[in-house]
Order: sequence, then C-alpha cells, then structure tokens
Amino acid sequence: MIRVPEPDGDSPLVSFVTPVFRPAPGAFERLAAAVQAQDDSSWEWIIVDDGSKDAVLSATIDALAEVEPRIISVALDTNLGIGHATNRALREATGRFVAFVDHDDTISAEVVAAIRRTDRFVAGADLIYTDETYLSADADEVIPDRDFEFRKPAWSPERLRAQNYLNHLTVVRRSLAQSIGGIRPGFEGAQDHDFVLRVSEKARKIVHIPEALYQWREAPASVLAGPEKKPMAWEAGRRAVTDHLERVGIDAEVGRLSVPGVGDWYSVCPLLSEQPLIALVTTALAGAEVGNAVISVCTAWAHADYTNLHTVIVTRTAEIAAHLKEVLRLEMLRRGLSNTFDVIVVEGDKRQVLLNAGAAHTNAAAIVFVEPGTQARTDGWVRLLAGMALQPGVGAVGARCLRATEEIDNAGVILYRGLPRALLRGYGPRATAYGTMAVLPGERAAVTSQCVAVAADRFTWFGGFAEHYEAYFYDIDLCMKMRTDGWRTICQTQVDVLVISEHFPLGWHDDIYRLQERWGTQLDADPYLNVRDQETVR
Amino acid sequence: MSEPDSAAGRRIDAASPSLYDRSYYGNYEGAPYEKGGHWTRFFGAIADEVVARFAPKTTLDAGCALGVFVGELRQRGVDAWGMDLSDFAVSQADEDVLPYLRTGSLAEGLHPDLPKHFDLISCIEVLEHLEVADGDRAIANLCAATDRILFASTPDGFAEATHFACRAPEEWSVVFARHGFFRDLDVNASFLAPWAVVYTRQNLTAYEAVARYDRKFARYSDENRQLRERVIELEKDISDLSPEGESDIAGLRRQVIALRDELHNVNADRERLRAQIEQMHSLASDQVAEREAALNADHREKLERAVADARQELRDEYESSLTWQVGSRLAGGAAKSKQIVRRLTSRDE
Repeated sequence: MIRVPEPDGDSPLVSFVTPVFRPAPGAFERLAAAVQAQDDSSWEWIIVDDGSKDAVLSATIDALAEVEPRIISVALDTNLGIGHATNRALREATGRFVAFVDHDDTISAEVVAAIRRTDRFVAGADLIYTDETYLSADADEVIPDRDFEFRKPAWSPERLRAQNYLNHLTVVRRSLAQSIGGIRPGFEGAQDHDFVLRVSEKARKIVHIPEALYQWREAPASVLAGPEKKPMAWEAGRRAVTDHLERVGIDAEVGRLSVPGVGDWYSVCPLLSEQPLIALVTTALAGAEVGNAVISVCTAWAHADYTNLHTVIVTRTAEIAAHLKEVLRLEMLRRGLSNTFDVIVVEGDKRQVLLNAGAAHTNAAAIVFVEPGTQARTDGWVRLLAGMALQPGVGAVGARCLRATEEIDNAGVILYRGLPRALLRGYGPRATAYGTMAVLPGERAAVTSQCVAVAADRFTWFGGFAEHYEAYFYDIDLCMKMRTDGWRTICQTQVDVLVISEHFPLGWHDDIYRLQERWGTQLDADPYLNVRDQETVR
Repeated sequence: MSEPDSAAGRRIDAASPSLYDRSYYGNYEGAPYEKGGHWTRFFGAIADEVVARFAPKTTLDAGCALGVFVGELRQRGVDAWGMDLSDFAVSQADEDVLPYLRTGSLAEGLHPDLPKHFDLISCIEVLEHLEVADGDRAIANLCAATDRILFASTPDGFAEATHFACRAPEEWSVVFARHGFFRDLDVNASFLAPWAVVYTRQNLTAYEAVARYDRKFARYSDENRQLRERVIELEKDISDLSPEGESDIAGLRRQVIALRDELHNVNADRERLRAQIEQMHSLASDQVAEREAALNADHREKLERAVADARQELRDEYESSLTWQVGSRLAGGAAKSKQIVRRLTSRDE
C-alpha cells in the first residue's frame, strides 16, 4: 500500500502539551531543559498556565517563550482544572502528534525521534505509548531498580479497562485527539483514562514503544491525593469504563478490583443477560482420574451460579461412564440442580482427543474446559470466563491457577526463549507481583487447559486442540492458532482455580519439537513479555 | 322460570337465567363476549356462509345471546330472529336487533311472538348448557318449527361450569333422528366448528340412511388410508436422513475440528517451504554472482595479458628504431627516456 504523507506543511511532528499549575520548584525547569534537548528538532511545546498566579513561574515561562519560538505559552486567568487546560492546549497544537507531559515530570531526549520512527514504519499509528521510570520527588537521575520502572505489555485492551496502564508517555495523532473533542468534562480524577479509552476505540493502530522514555516524578507526600478525593476519582473511572463497554457493545458491569495499599482498579464482570448455553467439558482417562473428574465437576457446580450449564464428561469405558453417571446424578439430587450432564465414551488415549470429542458433543455457545482435579474457587466463575470468551475479538480465556499451598501455579503463559513457561509461578495469590499482573485481567501469549474457556464456534474454526501432540502444549498451540490470527488470549485473574498437576513437562519432551515445528520463530516473540518480566519466569 | 337453588339437592340450576349474567359474558373462554370486535367478525363470516349455502328467508338463532349472529344475518337481508334464556344478554343487544330478540326457555317452547316456521334454525353451542331432558325437549321444539337446523355443541368442553350435558355427536344425531332429522351428508359445516352439523328433515328408510352413511364412510376411510401411507413414507425419509441421529452430528463436528487443525499443519509447511525457497533463491543468486565474478576475472586476465604483450612489442620496436635512439639523445639523458618508457609500459590501472 502506498502511504500518502499527511499535508503537514511546516508544522512539527510532535506537539508536547503541558498544563502547568504550581509545579514543584525546580521540576518545571528540568522539564524545559529536557524538551529543548530533543535529538529530533521537529517539535513544539504548548504550555498552558492553569491560573497559577505565580509571578516567578510566569517569568520563567515568558523567558522560555522569548528565546525559543517553538514554545507557545497560554496563561489562563482562573484555575479550571487539568482537563480544561489540556483542551486549551490541544486547540493551539499544530503537530502531527500530541504528547501529554505533566508539569513536574521529565522526558528522554529520544522521544521525538522514537515517534518519528514509529510514524515512518507503522502506517496508521494513531495511539503510541512508551514505558516509564519513576523519579523520587527531588532526584534528577533515574534509579536503576525494577521498582522504579513500569515496563508495559503490547496493546492490551482488556488490561486498559481494568487500569489506565498506558499512562505516560501517551502520544495521540492530533487529528484524532481533536476529532473526539479532547478531554471530556465530568470525569475529573479519571479524565485521562476516559480519554485513552475513547481514543483506543477509534485508533487504527496502537503501538507500544518498549523504551522507558518518560520519567514520572513521585509527588511529595503532602500533595498526594487525600483519601476524601480518591473515591470520586474512582467513581469517575468506573463511569468511564462503563461508558466504554456500552460503546463497544460488551454486556458487562464494572466493579471494584482492589488490593489494599496498592491500588483500586476496575473489574469487568460479564452479565450474559441472554443466558446462553455454556458447556463444561472434562475428561476421565483412567481409573485414578475418575475421582478427580468428580471433584472437578462437583466444585464447578458448587461455584457455577449458572443454570444453563451443560456438563460433558468424556471417558474411555462404559464401566467408568456408568459409575460417573450414578455419582453425578446423586450430586445433582443433593444440590437440587436442574442443569444437564452427559457422560460420553470415546476411544483414544490422548486427553485432547477426548476434549475435542466433548466439545463436538455439545451445542453450547461457549465451552469451559477443565483438567480433572481442577477445582473452581470463585463464585460465578462460569460467567466470568465464558462471558469474556464470548466477547468480540477474544480467543481463549484462562483462569488464575493456584496450588494447594495457595501459591500461584500460573497466571497465564509466557513465551521465553522459544518455550512456554508459567507466569508468576510461586508468587502468593495476593501478591500484586510485577506490574500487578497477578491481579489485573490482561492479555497473554497463552493460557493453559487446566481451566480455559473458548467460544464454541471459534474453537471449531481453529481446529480445537491439535491431536498430534503426545501429551502437552495442545493448549498453547490453540492459543497460538487464535492469537496469530488476531484473537486475544486473556488471563481472567478474577477467577481462581486450584490445580493439582504440573502442567508443563518436566525436562525435555518431544512435544516441544512439535510445537516448534508448527510455530518456529513465532515462539520467540512474546508481545506481552518484556525484559523485566523474565524474572517472573519459572 | 325456576329460581336459583329452588330445585332440591342441586346447588345450581341449568335453567336459571342468572347464570348468564355480565360475569359470564365477560369471562367467556377466548375473546370477551361483547358487541363489535372478534365475535362480530366471526358471526359475520358464518352469516356469509349460511346465506351462500342455504339462502334462508327466515331464521331463528336459538340461544342467541347478544344477538350478534341475528344482527349479521339481518344485515344480509335475512328475516332473522333470536331467542335466549338470559335477560341480561338480550338487554345488551344492539338497538336495531333488539326488536327481533325474545327471552325464554327453549325447553318450554318457542316464544309466542316468534314466527311459527323458519327456513333455518341455528343452535350454536347452546344445548350443552341444558340438562339432558331439557335438551331433548328443546330439540323437539326446534324440529317442530323448521326443516333445517345448523347445530353445534362442543363434545369435550367438560371443564366449563355451565356445561351441564356435553354429549358426543352421535348422541345428538340419535335425538334428532327421533324427530325425522338426519345429517345432511352433502354439507360440510366445519366453517362453523369441527363438530358442527346440518340436520335436515328427511323421509328416509333405515336402508336409505345406512346406504348414505356407508357411502360417506367409504370415502373417509379411503382418504384415511392414503394419508397413513403418506405418513409412513415421510417417517422412512426422516430415518434415512439421520441414521445415527445426534451422535452423527457430533461425529461430523469432530471431523471438522480435526480437518481445521490440519490446516495449520499445512500453513506451517507452506511457511517452511517459503523459507526454503527464499534460501535457495539467495543461494542461487550468490552462486550466479560468484560465477560471474570468476568469469570476469578470467576474461580480464586474458585481456590484460594481451595488452601487456602488445605494449612490450611496441617498446621493443621503439627501442630498436632510429627515431627512438635519436630522440632519446635529443631529449637529454637516459633518465628522461626511462620515464617515458615507464609511462608507456605502465599498466593503466
């Protein structure tokens, strides 16, 4: 495709936009120096003084604008808040992109150059975000410590609903930012979350630059938002996410996802108002597994809280089937359940063959596969998993898998040096872990079949679980099939399940060859993994 | 007319007009029994049929309720009359129909104001409301006043409280036969109800009646046989379509899953082949470049040798010539001449 450059004339590539209101002393000057030190000179800087009434600050800004024609300053008489000031700055901007910079943070010298590279090589990049590092209140230098870095995943819409992880630096094509009307009033405290949600709905491409080009300065303790202000900001964010779900047509309600002392985020809980048929499929390969299958089904029913559920247990002999039927019939009587279950007999000694047969047996809209022995722990888990699996653009949805010791077995799978590995193995279930990945639902390279939900038509379309693997990786393979075709894999961290098995082969296994034969170098690139995440790999 | 609860041992009396008050007509099963709307359209359609089939000049609707049917017939030019037990129902009739309605019990005889003979009497869903003996007397009264009766009485409305005597169709036929009325086998009265019948006064012997019924029976029995054969055919078709039923669909779905997965193997193979082809392309172009370079080097060497030979020849010729010998001396010295020789023989790099 031939790219037609936008008719820019003499306008710069990037408009930095900074509303200023009584910044910490010295911080604003450091930002001014950082902007003027850009390697690529195609920028302008719009400074809007949001009614600071500070003579020293005004003099500083005037002096800057006098010597540097690329600096445009606007002074507002009264303090109208960051949203209003940002919109005022947007009106002045002429660059192809606008980059939002806070008044006491600072940026790296490569920002404009990095945006130029992205603009050149990614057609239609309308929303760009970078990683960021944290500065303490009075420091100039970045402390090289992981706790002071926020390395971000590739574009993850599910995570953006839970948390505005784009944060800084966020860069938006100016035409788009202006056409959606900039910041919406009425979302004070969460105006940026609302803004990026609205931008993301319209953006053609969303690009992550995996470089820490932004230094976020910790505010002095006295300025931290007081506890009386926070609930309003959270409520504004809840409205922003609710509006967003309505616009994109997701039938869900927004709740609170909270880790005391760490953060308050948003949980998107699918409603499944139309109560479609959902299938629960598990296997009982041999004698020893029958008990595990029963445990799985019984705990699944106990926490399902969903009536239109069709349970399918796939086994290999009629004898086991008869036994299972009797046990489960009694369990249904005991619980007074009215859902249906089938025990079917299928020939085959591979688990995935049985799972595929189970999937073929049901007419459900979505299927939740559980390994025998996997125990549901979260009430309403079926709705949380299957509801998400039925959303547009979603492939496989996994649960957060815990072990009996309450440690995390995996919170999804990442690809590391060409191999699938458990993410966050060994962490405590309440640990937020690096980047809050253990808590926030988000996109992953893959999830495991210990507990995974897939829309039935998508499962069939992508050929279900590949049957040529001996024992492992058919779940990773399914995620790869869907993800390489643009369907997102999600770890639904709101659902906890207890797992009993070591899911990945101990040591080398021929199935690794089979996985690599099919996916080759695509296994090397985990879009959601960054260098720092590697510490979470086991 | 008897009062409610007057008859010994009976809580309600079938012949009591108070049974058929506003609540009865307001709660009639199906559409409410009111003027206009559903019942007007219903009886309008029946009136059309009656006029088209029998062209009666005078009619009586025995058990006419609100007189809707009477009204519809009158609109079609028929001198229609009505009679009903319920004062309430009749009082609700349209003003233009009211003069042609009378109240009274059919079992006790037609109202004296009514004409003595009608071309057709209709009695639609009425007699099941009467006790058996009253019903029989009502039929006798109707049969005395006409030669044709359009009759319907639900055979299975047992659940309704005011249905005192639901009788099977053949029971009604027997009662009518006593008065010389037989089913008109040429009239299909299902425009009114599936169980509706037209009885006409016929002077038939038992033999004639049997022959007529038998003719009709033979036709229905033939129709019945043909329909059964068709059902058997259809059932066979259905079983041919799904020999295994549900499990077959699951089997097909499994095949689809396996085939679609195979597609990913094909894709992976294709990617591998493409990589190999690219590799071979680059290998081939490397070889071509190498070969070209070798050829060029070879060719160049030959040319250079030829040039060197030619130059040597030239120098030898010069050095031995008189011109060179004189010239070199004139130019002054060997140094200069050597320079010239060097320039002449140097390779043009």
